[in-house]
Parts: sequence; structure tokens; C-alpha cells
Amino acid sequence: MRNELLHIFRNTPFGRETLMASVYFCKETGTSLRVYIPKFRQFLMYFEHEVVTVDLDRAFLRDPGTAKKHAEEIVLEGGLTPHFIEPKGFTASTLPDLPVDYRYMTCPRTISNLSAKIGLGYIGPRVRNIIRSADFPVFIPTPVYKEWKRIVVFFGGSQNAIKAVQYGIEIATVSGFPLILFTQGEDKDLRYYEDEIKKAGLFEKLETLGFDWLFFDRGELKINLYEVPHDSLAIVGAYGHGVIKEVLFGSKMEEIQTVLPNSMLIVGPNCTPVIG
Amino acid sequence: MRLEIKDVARMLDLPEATIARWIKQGKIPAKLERGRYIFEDRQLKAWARTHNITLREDKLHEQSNNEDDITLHDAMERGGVFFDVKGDNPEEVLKSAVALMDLPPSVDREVLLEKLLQREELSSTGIGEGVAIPHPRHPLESFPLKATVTTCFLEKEVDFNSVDGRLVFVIFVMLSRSTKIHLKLLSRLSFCLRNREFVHMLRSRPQPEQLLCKVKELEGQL
Amino acid sequence: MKIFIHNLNERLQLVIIGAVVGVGGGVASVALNRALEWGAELLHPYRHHWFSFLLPACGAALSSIFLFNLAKDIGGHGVPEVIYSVIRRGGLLRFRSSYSRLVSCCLTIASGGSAGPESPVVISGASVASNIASFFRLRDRQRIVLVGGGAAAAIASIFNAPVAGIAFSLEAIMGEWTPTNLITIGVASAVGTEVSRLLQGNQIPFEGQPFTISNLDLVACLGLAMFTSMASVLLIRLLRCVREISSKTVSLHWVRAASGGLVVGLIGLMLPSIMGEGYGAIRTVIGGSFSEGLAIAGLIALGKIVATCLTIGTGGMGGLFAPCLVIGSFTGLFYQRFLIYLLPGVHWAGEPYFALVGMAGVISSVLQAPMTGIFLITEITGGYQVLVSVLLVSVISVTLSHIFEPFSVYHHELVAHGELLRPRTDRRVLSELSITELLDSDYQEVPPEMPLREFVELVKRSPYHFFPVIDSKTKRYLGLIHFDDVRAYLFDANLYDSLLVEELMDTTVPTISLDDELTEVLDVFEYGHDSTLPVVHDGRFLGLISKATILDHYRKELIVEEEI
Repeated sequence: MRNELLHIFRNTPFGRETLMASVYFCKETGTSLRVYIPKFRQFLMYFEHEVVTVDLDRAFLRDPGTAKKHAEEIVLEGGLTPHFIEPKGFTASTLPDLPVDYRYMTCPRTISNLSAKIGLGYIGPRVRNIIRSADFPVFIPTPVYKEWKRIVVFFGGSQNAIKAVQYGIEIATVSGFPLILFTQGEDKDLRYYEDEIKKAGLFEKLETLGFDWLFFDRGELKINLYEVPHDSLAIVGAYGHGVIKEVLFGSKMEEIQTVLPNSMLIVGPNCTPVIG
Repeated sequence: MRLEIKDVARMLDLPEATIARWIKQGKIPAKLERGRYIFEDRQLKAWARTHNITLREDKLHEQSNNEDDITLHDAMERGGVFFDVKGDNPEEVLKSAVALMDLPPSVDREVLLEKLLQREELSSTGIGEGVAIPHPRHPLESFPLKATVTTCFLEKEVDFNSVDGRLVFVIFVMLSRSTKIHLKLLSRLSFCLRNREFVHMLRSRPQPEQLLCKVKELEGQL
Repeated sequence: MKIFIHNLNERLQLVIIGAVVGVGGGVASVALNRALEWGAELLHPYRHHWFSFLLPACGAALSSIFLFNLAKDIGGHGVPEVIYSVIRRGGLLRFRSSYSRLVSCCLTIASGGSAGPESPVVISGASVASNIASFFRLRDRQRIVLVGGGAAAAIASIFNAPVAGIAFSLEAIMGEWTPTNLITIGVASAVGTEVSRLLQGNQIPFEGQPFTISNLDLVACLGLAMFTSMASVLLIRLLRCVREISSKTVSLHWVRAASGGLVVGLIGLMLPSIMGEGYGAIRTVIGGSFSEGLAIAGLIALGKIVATCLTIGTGGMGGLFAPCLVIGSFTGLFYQRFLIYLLPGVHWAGEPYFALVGMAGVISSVLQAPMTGIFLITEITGGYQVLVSVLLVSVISVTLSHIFEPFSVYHHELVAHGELLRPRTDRRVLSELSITELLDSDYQEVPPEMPLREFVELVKRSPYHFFPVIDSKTKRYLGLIHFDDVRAYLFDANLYDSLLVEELMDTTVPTISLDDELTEVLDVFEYGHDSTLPVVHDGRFLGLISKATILDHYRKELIVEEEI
């Protein structure tokens, strides 16, 4: 797995904000940025057990003459070196496939629809497919560029949540930003969640790093989410303990993405964090 | 026996990434258990047989880099220190030494003695300053222990036909599995013997702890 | 159930799932067939009206709109996609491919477009197989075999020809005949055939009467082979031509398809046999009831070639099998009339014979798959009498057309991209290896400001041969020191304090990036004199790559790819 982030560039003002967010993310997490400027309406990503077809909204192909220049400007301004990728494999002459061995990928809330549709509560089906099949987490930035200075990891005790914590630890270590755990304790007390973290062998790492724990044993999740600082990156596991794991996101996840406007890093079930 | 990707990678002398890829492609049989891939020993062996590929089981048990961890101090600690070892000539001295040494049952003392004598006949192991370093002519490949250096202070000084003609008062019997280890230990021992203080201390027949301590100190300078 | 399947022996697993795949392929083909029949019935009353020539245009346009806008799929046979996936992507296929092209194809052919139902059914069957394999979390190798089974089942069920299905799958898609493949694919093919027989009855598509063949006819076959190869080359080249020109001149896909369909409709006014699949026309010929002469036969053959290229080349959805059979039979017919014209006194075998053999010639040449052609013809006519002739013509025709068009219509695009990597070939093995897997760690990093004295100490203590020089602050790679290069200085104590590592290092050593292709890397080794090179990505040093390690991995990869 390369230490790189894949960004699909939309040559529009909206796309500019998204790219700036990716640049910032790369700087803070120490990953290399790789930009793809699409030339075709679709591309494929061949994961281990599934091929995801990404249908791009027309905006992605707008004004190809200036796309590269614009992207370079934004990346250079952020202090990084621009790297563009060209797909090497073609399933058909108009259907390129992109490699999938990235550490992260940036997706706006929807790839196939107009930017107008991007609002809270909506995560497009293609993005969901990617999250479900990829072995890397998906970074969904805020619609307008905003620098995050804290990291909030939503911990509900599940396997996926443990992975989210691992990513949180890694990013906090490299970026130096403070790490906060957020738990909506359903019927269990803090001790239970602490034990889960200890079982995963992560407690020492967390203590060394230093962290806060926002634990709520009452109140609705929607309301408690207000306590998530506005300038934080929210790391969430996509699936919880549900039965219908393969099709829908967990209910908590859906609630969170409906209420929080923060930048999010969504950890799917096939993710493989490097540490731990 | 159940093996993991890292074990199989070592046995095939390939990186773990290649094994992981082979599993995904179905080129090597493995089962997914609780998030990890497990290889069943029998199945793996059958697979290796049909494809005519060698599984290096010795690499599986070998700790990586254990050769680099070997220190003279540890080898001498393992070999032990003995005083007043009897003998009027090299053969008798070696015989007494071998009798005293703490060896695992699998090592045949007679065979070991013979090998030491063979080497001695080939060329004297007396390297000067009253020190000799007897060792088997070829490294004992089947030596089960980590390398050992047995220190034997002799009851009386013996003529080993040393390089500088002086009589030998202490021998270091060096046993190891490979030439590489032997050379490493030898190089360290030589380094120690170049130190005046160390040789002086040897002549005074020091207590084992003192001796080992001094060796450790000198090794630390390397 | 997933767990049950997982615990079975692998061969048994594949056989069972292969059977399921066979059912899938069979159902897909029957569904399409029924849909086509229903469509033909629906549109029948309209065929006698004046506007009937517009039907193919409308059908093509609708098919295009459905495919691109509704199903969001792409055009093309689909078979190259399957092959690409089998070679490079472990047989993964998109689920939407299992139905999108069936619908689209139905629209194209039912309205009169000149194409066959085969390729869409092949990709449907293959896609169904692929997704079933993914559902059971099977490995790439198993998924690939099942995809082959899906393709076999598709062809087998369309033509009621199980062996042809197997041959097609192995020749065109898998690229190799191995025992393990054969079992699964055979099962899928057989089940597919059975499903088709169950649902549609055990008919042999083109039943003919027995012939009497003389030796003279066999000699005549040689000439026929020439004609069939010419027809095949013409078809392939014209198809490519139409594709290129139409995609350059008309950008709106449905307009493109419609215009192709329009011309087809116009041609169809004069030569109705060229429309649709054309099985009806074939039956006439095989039945011996074709009465027209030399010119008409030739015209129909040419017309069919043009119509097929116009239909498929402009974006209509369909396969080439059926058109090839039609073209083949009329070419054969044309040849027979030609022979009669040339040598009127000789008693040649009847039209059905030449038609059959012609079919074999064209199909084998277009697909560059002689076994498929031979088995197909033999199975769909239910007789072995023509076997020798079919063999002769297939093989000769393939050889002749190979000179002009070395790759089949499915493989051409893949070859153009360098993607046709047959198993156990050098390029294939290299494509499996990645630079990341080949990285060596026989090195220790040193900073540029280290003096020679310290470096000598380092060398004394370490077992390594290579020392990459890395800038301590920026962590960037600056150069490489190979132990051999500095041998001369190591024993020159005078230099110990006056030389720094950065003065010793070689900055001209070519560096390899993770994005490089192994073939390129090997070229660098070939033209240089180094046998170990540094891998530098984004300015960071990642490791070394050596020829020796490449050989070791290459050999192990090749061993493991072998099918036992």
C-alpha cells in the first residue's frame, strides 16, 4: 500500500475547495497527493471482490484545457508537489481503471450528481460502494475549505470502531493535533468501552499520545453531537453492529453524517490500518 | 500445525506481500480465520510437492538476525569458566577440558575431542601471550546450543607450540555452528586480548564474574 | 450456505458453482431468445408498411439510449472486457453487465439490426458467474474459471452446442486448455445446454439432409477457404473502419446508431435477408430451397457484411457469430454457383454442403478460433459427414486470414494496448510482479556529511554492500555508494579525515520509481552495467532492486502459475 491519497479533480470552484482540503489533509498526515484529472465519464476500481464503477458527474470533465493548470496552482500554493496519474489499464477504450493501492481517497459527498445535491444527510451510492469495498478510508471534506485542528474518533465498541481509533492514533501522531474519543454509551458504562480499547491493545498508545474522552451516558446522539468541536476531523466507522452490514451504513453513522458538517474520514469494513 | 503469512513468507524466501497476493489470486491455498489467513501444514506441503517448490522449514525456526546478537560475553557465560585444568601437553589439556565442559547429551565428547585435536595438529591454536583458542576443525553444524566459549585456566603452563613460543596458561575452547559466528567471536576475543589490562587480569586468575564483567566492558567499546 | 461451500474440496466447489453458473448462462440466453421472438412477432405487422425501413434506425437509437443513459454502461461486444478482466483483474466484472446488454441487444436485433445475440449473452453469463464467485468470496483463479464457464454456458445454450461452448471459452477467453479449467467449464457448458433444451426444446438449429461428398468437393474446399478468408478480412476491416469514422463524425451516440440503422434499413428494402440475426436465411439455404443465382448470392453476402458493420460499428448492440454464419453460408453458396458457372459439367455437392463449410470458414477466421468453428458447425448440423471438409476449410481459412489480420476481432483492441497477456508468457509473469515485492534490503543509509573514517567503521561492522546517501533533514535520496566502488579508498588512511561520504557517492546511478513497468526496469538493467539499482519514489529512497531477486521471484511466480 502506497502512502498516497487519491483525489479526483473537478475543475470547478467547488472542486477547488475539495482539492485544497485534500492538500491540507496530505500535509497533516504526511501522505503524498495524487491527482487524477478524468478524461472519460466513468472509471473502474477493481477491489478484491468487487468492481466499482464510478460514474462521474459532467462537472468533472469541464474545461479540460485549464484543469491541469488549475490543479497545479492549488497544490503548489499548499506547498506540495503536484503529481498527476494517468490510468494504465483500460477495460474498454472509454473505460479506464484506476489503481486501488492508496492509503486514502477523497470523495465529495456525491460523485455522480451535481454539486447542488451536496448537503447533509446525503452520501451518494457510488461513494458508499467505494467505502464498502475499499481497503482504505474515504475522506469526505467540508464543501468549503476549512482547516481542522482536532481529531474526533467515534467509538462504539465494534471492530470497525477499533479501526477508526487506529487511524485516529496514526493521524494524531503525525499531525500532532489533539485526539478526542466520542462515545454515545448505549446501556454500557465507560468501563466497558475502555476494556474494548484495552483488548485491542490500543490503550497504552492512547495514553502516551494523550487524549480526551467525551462520554455520553444519556441524551440523544443528535443533541450530544453539538459537543463535537467545529474545527475537528470526524473519524467514523461505516458499520456498527447491525445485521444488514453489507447494504446500509450503521444507523449511528447515518445519524452522524446527517448532523455533522465537519470533514469526515469514513472507515469501511475492509480497511487495513497500518498500526496496531 | 498452523502457519501464518509471515511464516510461509520465510519458508519460501519471499516477501509477505507476494504471499498475500498469491492467496488473493488463488495460487496458494489458505483459509481465512478471524481476519487472518491461516495455512494448514499438510495442505501446504502437498501444494509444495505438486508444484515442485521447496519449503525451507529451517528458515521457519531460525530467528532472523540471531547471529548478529551473539556476544562474546554471552558465549563465555554459556561456556563457563574452569580453574586448575590438568594436563602436561595439549592433548591431555584438551581431554580434561572436554570432560569438564557442560555439553548437551547430543554432543559426543569423543568426537568433539578428536575434532579439537585435528585442528591442533593442523596448526597450533596458541595465538601468543600465553593464550590458546582450541576449536573444532570444521564448525559443528549440528551444535544445538548457541555458540559457547569455555575458559580453562590451566593448572600448569603447557607448551602449545604457540606463535610467540611462550607457554600457554589459559585456553578458550570455542564451539559454534558456523564459520561466521566463529570469526565474529574470534575477532572480539582478539580485540580483548590486545588490551594490556585484560591480559594482565587473565594472568591473575580472576573470578568468573570479574572476567565476564571486563569482557562486557571491552565489548561495549566496539 | 456460504460456510458450507467454503468447506468443500476446491474441485467440488467449482463443479457445483459451475453448475449454477451454467443455469445462469442458460437462462440469460433463453431470455434473450424469447425476447427476440416476441419482438419479431410484435413488429411483424409493421414490416409491410412503407416506413419499415426506419425500424432498424429507431431500434438502434433506443438501444443506444438505454445502454448509455439508463444503464450507464458502455458499448462494444463485451467480450474484450471479459478477456481483459480474466487476464488482469482476476475475472471481476460489473454486475450491471449481466443485464444491460441483453436489453439493449434485444432492441437492436428485433428492429432488424444485423447482429447476433451471442456476445451480449456471453458477457451476461460471464458477469453472472463473476458475481456469484465474488458472493462466495472465491479466489481470483476460481473466479476466472467460473467466468470461463459462464461464457461457455452462454454459447452452448444459444446454439445447443456444448462442445462449441467449451471450445469458445478456452480458445477465445481463457487462452489455454488445462484439465482443471476443462472440468468446471465443461459442467457449466453442459448445464447451460440442458437448461436451454429444457426451456426451448432439443432442436438442432439447422438440420439438413445427408450429402454425398466426392473428392472433387474436398479439392474445391481449398478455393472456398480463400473466399471465406477474404470475406472475414473484409468484415473485420470494414467494422474497424465504420467504428473509427462514425465515432469521429457523429458525436451523439444515439444519432450515430440511428444513422447506421437507417442505412441498414435501406439496404434491407432490397435484400431482406440481411436484416436481423439471419437464421431464417440460413435455414433456406441449408434446406436447399435457395433458388437465386450467383449474383444475388454474392450480393447478399456482401450486403450482410456491410449491414453488420453498420449495425455494430455505429454502436448497435450485438454479436458477430450469427452474422458470420450468414456471411459464411452465402459465401459458400456464392462459391458453389461460381463453380457451376466455371465448370458446368461437374457434379458438385449441393448448396447446403458449401453453405455449411462456408460458415465454418468465416467463423473460424473472424474469431481466429478454428476449434470453435469446427465444433460449432458440427454440432449445429447434427452430422459428422462434413467434418473433414469443415476441418480443412477452417484451418486454411484461419491461416490465410491470419496473414492480414493476425488477431481476432475480440483481441485486436487488447493487443493494441499491449494487454493480451497469455498465461505463462514472459510478459504475463512480469506483469504479476510488482516492484514493491522485489525490494531488497541489503543496504544501510548514511548521511552525506559522514567522514570516510566513520564510514570505514560502519562498513567493518555491517554485512551490507550498498549505502544509499540520504539527506538528514529533507530525507531525500542523494546518491548511492557501492562497497566495490570505494575499495580503493578504504585502506588509504590518509584520506580518512579528508573525504566525506557525499564525495564518494555515485549520483549517476539510474533510479527506479514504483510506477515503472518491470519491462522498463529490465531494459535499464540490460543497457547499463549495474545489477542492483536504487528504488526512489517521490525523492525518498525505498530500497534496492536487483536482477538476482527478479530472477528468483520470476521463477517462483512461473512455478506457481502452472496448473497441475
